[in-house]
Amino acid sequence: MNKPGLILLSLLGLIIFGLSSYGCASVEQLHSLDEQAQEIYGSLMCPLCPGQTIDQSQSELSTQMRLLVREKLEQGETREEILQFFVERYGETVLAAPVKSGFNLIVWITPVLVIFIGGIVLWVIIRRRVRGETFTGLPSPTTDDSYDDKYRNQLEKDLKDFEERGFR
Amino acid sequence: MNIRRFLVPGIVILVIAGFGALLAAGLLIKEPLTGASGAARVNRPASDFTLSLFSGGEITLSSLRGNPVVINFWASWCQPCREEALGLEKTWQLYRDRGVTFIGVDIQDKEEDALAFIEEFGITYPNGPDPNGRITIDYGVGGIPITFFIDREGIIVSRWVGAVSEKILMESIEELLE
Repeated sequence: MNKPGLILLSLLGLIIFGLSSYGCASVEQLHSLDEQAQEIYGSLMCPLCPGQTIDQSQSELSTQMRLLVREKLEQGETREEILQFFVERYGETVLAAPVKSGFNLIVWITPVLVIFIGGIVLWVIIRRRVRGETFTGLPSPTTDDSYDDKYRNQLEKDLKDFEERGFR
Repeated sequence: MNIRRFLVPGIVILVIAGFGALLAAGLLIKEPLTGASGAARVNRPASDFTLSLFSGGEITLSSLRGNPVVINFWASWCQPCREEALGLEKTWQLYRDRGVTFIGVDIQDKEEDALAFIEEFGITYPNGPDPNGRITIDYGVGGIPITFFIDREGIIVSRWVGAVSEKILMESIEELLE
């Protein structure tokens, strides 16, 4: 191949590579936007449908809210900005999960606290049970001298009686 | 000895009773979802919008600054909207010369049904659709009908969820005019 032909081929290769890279980046961006949108749909409650997020609800208002979320994402708004936009209009009840501040912190802290306290209680109960089995076992001959003395005295007394009176 | 014996069961009972009370409160205090419609917007500036009117032309809220505005969200399929329609028109006729503007925002509706509704009740104040729901969402509207009362400074002073009576309309407008 002559020199101009080689240059032309290289240029063509570069253009194809550039276009395919751009295409891949666009598809990736689209997937990322879709994922972000899905995540936000699941974080917003439908103001009309009890217990349903806008992702689950089929109401027209939810559809309009989904479209608005998507549009705001495309305009470059962040997840937090979009959620805040809806909170300002519908109040905190529009959020599927309560915010982690103020009185709402109780909702987040309580389960952790219950698990922690429950773990401690469980540990204490198990420990007590294990110790309880040791206590109910036979007393160690080396630790309880009062029993030894009592039986030793009885044994010595019986032996003495036996020596004095013999076996009858 | 006795205190230690009853301490743990006492705490357990108190915790269970607390959670029980919360559950009962949650079940008993049932404010309808529609009741919360627009609540977050009260005492805040009314979001500006431009409404394309059924009668042609358009109206922009900010252009009405300096005058009290009553915005009613409605739909032709909504029964309470039918109940309030005549009263709204009557009150509009009563106050239009005193600088009060009424705006009807038709939501989640078909245009032909909306036009039939307007004709049926003889509504003459500006009315238009909100096809993509932007005004609906901007005003935090869930359930309809809902009526917002906006003062001369453009602040949403109050709202009424459900069919609004002429009495409520007049009382609220008089407050705006004070």
